[in-house]
Amino acid sequence: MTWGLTNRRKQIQAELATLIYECHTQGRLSPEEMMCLLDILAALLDQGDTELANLLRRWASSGMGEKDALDINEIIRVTLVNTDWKDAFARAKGLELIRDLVSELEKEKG
Amino acid sequence: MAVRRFVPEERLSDLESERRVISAMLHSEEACIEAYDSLKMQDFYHPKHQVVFELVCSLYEQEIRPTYVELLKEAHKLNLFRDPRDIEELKYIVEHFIDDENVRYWIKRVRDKSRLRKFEAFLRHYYQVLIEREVDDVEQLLMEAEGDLTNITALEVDDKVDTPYDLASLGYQEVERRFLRYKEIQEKHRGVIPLDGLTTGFDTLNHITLGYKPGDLIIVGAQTGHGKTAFALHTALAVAVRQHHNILYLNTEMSRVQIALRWGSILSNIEQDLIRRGDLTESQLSRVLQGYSLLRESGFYSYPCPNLTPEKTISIARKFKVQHDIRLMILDYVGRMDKITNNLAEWQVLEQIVKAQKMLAQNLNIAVMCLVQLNEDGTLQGARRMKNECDLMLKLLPISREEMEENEELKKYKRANYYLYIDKNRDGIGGVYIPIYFDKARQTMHDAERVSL
Repeated sequence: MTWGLTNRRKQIQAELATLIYECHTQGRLSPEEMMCLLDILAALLDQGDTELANLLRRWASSGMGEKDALDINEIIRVTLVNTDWKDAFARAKGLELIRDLVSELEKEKG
Repeated sequence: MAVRRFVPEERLSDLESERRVISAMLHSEEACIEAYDSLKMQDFYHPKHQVVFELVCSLYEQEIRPTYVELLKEAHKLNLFRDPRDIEELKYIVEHFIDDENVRYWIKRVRDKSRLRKFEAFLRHYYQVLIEREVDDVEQLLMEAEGDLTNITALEVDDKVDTPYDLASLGYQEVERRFLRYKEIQEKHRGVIPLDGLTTGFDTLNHITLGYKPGDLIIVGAQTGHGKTAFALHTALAVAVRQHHNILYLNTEMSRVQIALRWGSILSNIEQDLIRRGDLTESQLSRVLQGYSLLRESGFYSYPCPNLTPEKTISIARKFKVQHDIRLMILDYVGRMDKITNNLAEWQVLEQIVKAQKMLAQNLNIAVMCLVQLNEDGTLQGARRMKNECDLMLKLLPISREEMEENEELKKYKRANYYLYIDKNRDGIGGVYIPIYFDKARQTMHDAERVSL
C-alpha cells in the first residue's frame, strides 16, 4: 500500500511545494494562490492530471501576460484559484471554462 | 538538573530514526498505520518532529493521504511552520529519508529512546528527592521508585496492572450497571434484555449471547454451499444496514460485482437468480433500487481480496479502525487465505490465523467474525483447536428431511430448515440448537417462527 509516488517525482514535488510555500511566507503569493498552486501541483504529480497540465501549457503559449488579453488572463487566474481541484464536478466545470478562455486567447493571437 | 549535565543529548534521542519514521509514513500506508498504532507524539524528541507526526496522524484520520503538499496545506491552516527553517527540516525528511522498509526497526529505535528519556527523568527525579530532603521512610521511597521503574521496563504505555482496589471497584460498577439495567428492563422494556454488544440478527441468539461484544472472536462454520456468506451478510444487514454501525467485510472468494448483486437480492427480497438474469418487473426494479439506497446509507465497507494474508487483515483492520471506527470485522473465509509459511501443517497455519484474529479483536476492541469450512460430519476442517481461541463458535447445520418429520420439537416451528448450533459460548450457555429459516434463493435468514398454539 505505498502512496504511489516515485522518488524522483517526490523530490520534484517537494522542491516545487517548498518554493510555493516560501513565496507565500515572503508575501509574494496570497494564501489562496498558494493553496491553489499546491492543489494544482498535487493534481499534476499525485494524480497525473494530464488534461490540466496540457491546458496550462496551452495557456502559457497563448499570449499569457500580453496587455490586450489581461481581462481573460485574470478570469483564468481567478478560476484556477477558486476551483476545488479535488472535486470532480468542480474540476470538470473549471477545466471547461479555462479551455474556452484559452481558445479565445489562441484565436486572438491568430 | 544535576544529572542531566552528564547525559549527552544524542544518547537520549535519535533524530535520524525519527525522520525515517515520519518519512516512511509519508511514503507508505502500511508504515503510516504501524507508526500511528505504535507511537505517541511524546515519543519524538524533536519538537518539530512531534508536530509533523501529529499532523500526519491527523490527516490520516481524516482519510487524507499525508503527502508533503497536504502537510503544507494543513500547516498553513493551523498557522504552523512560519519559520523557513521549519520547512527546511520537513523538506529534508521528505527528500532524504524515503525508504519505508524496516519501519518497525525505526519505530523501535524511536520508542527505545523515548523510554530512555523516561528512565533519565526517573533517575533525575529520585536524585533530586535525595538532594532536597531527608528520607524518613526509605521502604516507601524504594517501593515508589520500584513501581515507577516497572512502568518503564515491563509495561507498554497503555498497559495497566489492576490493584485489588481497582478490580473490586470495576467489578462492583459492572454489577451495579447490570442491576440498574435489569431494573430498567423490567420497568420499561417489558423484559426484553438490551444487548451488551452488536446485534447478531437473530432474536434467540441475541438473548443467549447478549450480542457480539468488543474483543470477541466469533467463529462461524458451515459446509460448502450451506450459508457462510449468507450468514456474514445477514450479520452485516443487522449491524451495518439496520443499526448503522461501521463494519469491514473481507471476502476472499467473491468479486465486487457478486457481492453487490447479493445485496440486491437480500435488500429487495427478490430471488438472486432473477436479479442475476435481470428478469425483473418494473416494480421489482424499483424495490431493488430502494434496497440499494439503504446500502448507500449503511456502514458496510467491503474489501474483496482473493490473496488475503493474515498480515494484510491486520493492516486493513487497523486502517479502518482509525478512519471509520469499525465495530466489527467479518472475514469470509479463513480457509481461502494465503498462507505464507509453508513448513507448517494446515491445522497449525489455520490455528495461527485465528490466534492473530483474536489478538486483533482485543487490540482494536472490535468484534471479529471468522467464517470457516466444516467437514461433512460437522467437525471443523483444518483446525479443531481454533475452537479454543474463540469466544463464540456457531455452526450452520442443515436439518435433514427425516429429522423434520420425526423431531417433535421441530414441529413447533414453521419452515425451520437449518440449525444455528452454539458449539461454544464463553460468556453463557453452549450446546444449544436454534432452529432458523435459511432462504437460499434470496440468501436471507431469520429465526424460525414458532407455530401459534
